[in-house]
Amino acid sequence: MTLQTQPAQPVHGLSTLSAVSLSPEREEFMRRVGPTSQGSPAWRARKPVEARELLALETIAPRIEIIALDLTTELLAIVRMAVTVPCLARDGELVVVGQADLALCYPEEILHGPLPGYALVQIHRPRRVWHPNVSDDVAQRICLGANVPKGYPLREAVLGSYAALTLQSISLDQADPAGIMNPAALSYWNDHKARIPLSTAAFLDPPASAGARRAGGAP
Amino acid sequence: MNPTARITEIRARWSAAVRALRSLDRSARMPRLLDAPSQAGDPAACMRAQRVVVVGLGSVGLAISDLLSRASVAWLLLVDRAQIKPESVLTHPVQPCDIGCDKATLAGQRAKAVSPNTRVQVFSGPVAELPPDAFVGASAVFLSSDNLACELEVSQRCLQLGLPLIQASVHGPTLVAQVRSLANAAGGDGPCLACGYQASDWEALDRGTVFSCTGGPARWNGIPTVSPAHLCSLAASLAVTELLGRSAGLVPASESRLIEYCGFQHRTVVTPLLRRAECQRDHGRWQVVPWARRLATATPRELLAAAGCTDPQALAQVSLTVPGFRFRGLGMCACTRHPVIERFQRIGAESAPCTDCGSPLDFHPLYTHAQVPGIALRAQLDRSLGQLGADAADAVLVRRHDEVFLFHARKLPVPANSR
Repeated sequence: MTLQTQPAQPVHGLSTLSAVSLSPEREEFMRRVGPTSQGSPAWRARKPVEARELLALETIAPRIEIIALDLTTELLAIVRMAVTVPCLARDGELVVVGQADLALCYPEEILHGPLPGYALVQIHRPRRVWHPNVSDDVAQRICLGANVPKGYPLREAVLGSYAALTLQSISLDQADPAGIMNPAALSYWNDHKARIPLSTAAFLDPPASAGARRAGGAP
Repeated sequence: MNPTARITEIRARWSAAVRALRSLDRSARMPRLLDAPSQAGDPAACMRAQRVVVVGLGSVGLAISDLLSRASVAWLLLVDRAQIKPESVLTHPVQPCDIGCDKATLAGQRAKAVSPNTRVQVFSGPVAELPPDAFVGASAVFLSSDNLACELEVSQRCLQLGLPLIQASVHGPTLVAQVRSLANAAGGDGPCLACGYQASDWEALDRGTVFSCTGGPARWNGIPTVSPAHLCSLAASLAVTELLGRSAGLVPASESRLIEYCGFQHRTVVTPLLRRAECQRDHGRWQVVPWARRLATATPRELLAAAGCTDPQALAQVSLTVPGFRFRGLGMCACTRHPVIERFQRIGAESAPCTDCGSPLDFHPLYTHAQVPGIALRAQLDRSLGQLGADAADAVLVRRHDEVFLFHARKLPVPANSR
């Protein structure tokens, strides 16, 4: 007896994003944004490449969803990500929520030179994130390092944000101010290293349920 | 942009010495050039007419500033973010009593003391924080910085504004003093500094490498270039001589070149510099448009019209940038989902409170722009920039297709010394 099967779908990973087929709606979106994209010829050529990679990442990674994407001037995007996010509750307790909305701003200057590591990603939701590499202000900028190099791909900013928020990649060196955006959170996490990382799941793994959980201990 | 960093004016302290200096015949010590083109007949006048920016006031730049003040140039804008350190005394033309001083302020005070008729302005901050119109009105820019990010920023500004750029540097171990002289001439297709960059330069840029000339132990990401003071002052002299050559017509206006002096053999080599076709930098020229009144009173519609955009349908193809400000289209608050803001807000300023609940408004990341799409302004085209929150707008950039228009209300420096 033979088993009739569907043609095998190619399995894509982070290294083959350019080969990922987008859904018809996403392809249509990419067609529509072209004429309204502004900037120098190099920037107009670069934005669709980065946007397509972001959409391809969404296609293969069940933990992210592109909520909004705008290529008019800067490349702006809101990415909803299933990820552990350490936050302060109203009572001052630390809670770990399961979802974040990341605001990405990818400016033309990235073509010309390195940018500060905090220039690309902000946490739009949730509020009151308690993380050494996230600024303790309204902007909630994630610092991905001392700087991001010229031409740094947007997908790397998404992957770097995931690694930072799960505490898989974290800077806890008080002597190195590069990357430290919240010294009080730095002290807290230095005292609670046993809780690091918050998750060991790989970026492409299916996400766990997104409910908030108490991490215990007031910072 | 850092709101605390400002261009400040250095003023002369009146004294008998200053009065004597003001009345000097400064042409008396400048030679007539033999067999020179007609416009070089009075090189002193050529130099007195110069309006010069000097970026980087270390071992080389401070010497350039001193030489330019002795030539009584009309205007000097001196830019450096650093202070004099103890080790600076080894290479900079400074005294121990200068340790701790802002380099820009120190250079400005020295220039003003030597040439009271020169208008001297200083900026003690990173060049990237200067407004985009800061170099408008200059006739040449000198560069002697210690890092590649600054180099590229200055090179880009000179390309955009069409200003000659003269970069002076040294390489101590080979006793080489080097001057890159870039024409950036109108209608030309000349090189920028990045045209000469190799892969190692881009790596150094990404690492933020600092090529300090102050010597001493290497700091984090720092490479001391151990530059002898005499080589630095030689590079400065070559650079100022290049300016004289350009202003007096001894160098063709469209020619870019590299001048290298090697102390081993006392030989000088001059090499033409050409644009590299695959250079990644934008070589586009901005159109600089003086605005007759305060920009805060201009409306987006007026500015877009001045940039040739009068068709409302064309709003999708234009954008407007007010340096130092962001435009916030929508906000977000716990009580109201997306309150309309549609105002400019100074970068770093606190958000206005929500009119309903009084709590600070969050910005909406998708409707917050430094470079504002024309579409986002369609409901505010007839309100002035001041009414829209940008009451301190000094310059505005309008981009239409591949063209960039820089509107400014800057009063161009007037030569105080017209003798």
